[in-house]
Amino acid sequence: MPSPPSQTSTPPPEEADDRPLVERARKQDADAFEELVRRHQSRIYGLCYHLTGNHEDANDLAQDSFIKAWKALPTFRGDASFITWIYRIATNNCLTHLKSRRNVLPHFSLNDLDANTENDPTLVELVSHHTPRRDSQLNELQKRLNEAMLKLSEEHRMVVAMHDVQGMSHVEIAEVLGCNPGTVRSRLFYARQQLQAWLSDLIK
Amino acid sequence: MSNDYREFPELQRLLALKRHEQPPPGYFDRFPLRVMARIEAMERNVPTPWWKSLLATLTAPSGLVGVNALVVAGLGLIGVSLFHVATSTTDEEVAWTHRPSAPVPDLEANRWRASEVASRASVNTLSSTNDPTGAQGLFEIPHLSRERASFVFPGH
Repeated sequence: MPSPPSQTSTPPPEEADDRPLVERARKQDADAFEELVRRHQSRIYGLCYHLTGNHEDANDLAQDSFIKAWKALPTFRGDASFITWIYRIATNNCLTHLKSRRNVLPHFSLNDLDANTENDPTLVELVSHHTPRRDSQLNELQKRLNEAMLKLSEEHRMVVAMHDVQGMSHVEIAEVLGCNPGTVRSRLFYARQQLQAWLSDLIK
Repeated sequence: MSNDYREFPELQRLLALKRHEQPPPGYFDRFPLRVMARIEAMERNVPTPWWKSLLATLTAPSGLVGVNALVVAGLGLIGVSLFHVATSTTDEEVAWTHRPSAPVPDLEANRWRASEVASRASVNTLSSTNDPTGAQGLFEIPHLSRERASFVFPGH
């Protein structure tokens, strides 16, 4: 799961643990890099998935991001943490992909909801308000949500995916995107306003 | 500080649904292997620069030292011969380029002279058949009347 927002200079334990692996990986140690991939794959894949709404694209983009990171590791100076750095690579990768597909109709290839979905009290409450047929309602909800996400511009979708879905702090997002936290907040507010309008029938 | 009106709590609850979207089971077990396989394949296919291959061959600690020496000597000889060829070619080019230019012949005048000579030659050829002396030369002009020359010598 995403790390909690951190304002202090002490890096989170996970990031601190990355350093020896990053040092080894910079010297072309494939085992060390594989361990880094294993640690961060779900977050990087998740970011790509939430930005594209497509499992196949997310798979390709996540793999490409790690391969680019492997190639660029000798130039990684360690100014930012490894996860921030790989997030930047994945973000740029996804943006390039999305811009190349701007004129193509979005194609969904949504992942299944995990087994915990039905036990999530928030979702149970949300769904039970609408229909007793929980499964079909959940799938409908998922489809509507993803359609609304894809209607957002890339920069707004990114902050929603990172903050509201992946739980990153404003500061962490600002580091990844190279902007200030105020910009992240304003983008988030605008994106939520739009989503609220598009999904109002599900929320009220 | 309450920012509830900016936080859209209902929307956030709905967005939490996306956290439950998961790739197929076992996907993350295979993912690192796929990435590493692609990296390995990529590095295998990277073409080695020619100078690296040459360096590797030259520094190989095998019994190819003699072959390498021969190759280097051969390359040296080829280089020297190419240098000589290039040098001589250059000299010829220089000589050709700097040859003093001959005066440009007046083609029109030459053509006129040639036709004049030819016409006279034909006239002479015709007239020479009638002239027993055969003294007419090329420089007789046919349209001028001929007169016998008379010379007066003093004392005669």
